[in-house]
Amino acid sequence: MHVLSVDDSAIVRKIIRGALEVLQFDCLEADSGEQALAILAGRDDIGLVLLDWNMPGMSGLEVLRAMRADPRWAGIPVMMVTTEGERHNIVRAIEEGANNYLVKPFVVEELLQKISDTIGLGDGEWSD
Amino acid sequence: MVTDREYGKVAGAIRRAVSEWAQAMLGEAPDFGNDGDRAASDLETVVGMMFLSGGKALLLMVTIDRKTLTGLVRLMAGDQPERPEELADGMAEITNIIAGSVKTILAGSPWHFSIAPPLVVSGRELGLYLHHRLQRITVRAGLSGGSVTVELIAVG
Repeated sequence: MHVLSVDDSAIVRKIIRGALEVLQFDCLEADSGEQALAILAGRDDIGLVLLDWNMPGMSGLEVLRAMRADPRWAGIPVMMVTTEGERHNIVRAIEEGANNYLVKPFVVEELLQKISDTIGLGDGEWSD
Repeated sequence: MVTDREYGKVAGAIRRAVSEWAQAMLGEAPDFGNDGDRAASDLETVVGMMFLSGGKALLLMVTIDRKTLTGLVRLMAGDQPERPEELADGMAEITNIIAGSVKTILAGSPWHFSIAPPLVVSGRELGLYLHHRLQRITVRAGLSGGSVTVELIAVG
């Protein structure tokens, strides 16, 4: 399965790529919302999108709305990975269709657990 | 005018934000009593800045010398940053994370704000001049043998 990591920060994409290697997932990367939609439009093997909220240009929330409005992508799980930690923003993202939410800063173990939860892996699938 | 109580509350929010970032992403607790080697003023300095809008117009600045920042980015990313762009990207993300945490902690207060894309500047003997009447809240922390300074400045 391919996971699409969308964040304007290269260091965050690198941290996420390292975590996905632990889970033995192939990682695709986009540094903007626009690039994320272009990648989604060109592939049909993406099983999870990890999405930053605040990015120059198209925001993560706008990407999420576009995905949920398009039948090709409406069923792909999305986890927000963002510094927006206020409760009303978390509720808003879930209402817009996010499946999970992780607030930065995070520890890698928390990221791994939330990814596993989001795609329905059981505990311990990745942890040996 | 920032009252002592307000200063304490905002400074406490900044300290908590720095602690959360350092403990989660560096595996290290900052030392607010000992802010590292501040004599190293001849080192190249890197400053992450973010203009914040909300009840007050604010400027958040995070200042770290290049050597310390290189070590912090290595701890976050797992390997040594090779190019200046990687260091700047790391500084931008540190600024973003600290600003985001401070925002969350100050939700519901007059100091609450919306975050914006960070800017990063770097250089030796970097001079940043602000009007002396601008009120600033400063927190210094020792991390990885160096110093991290976070300032929140009321610019309007």
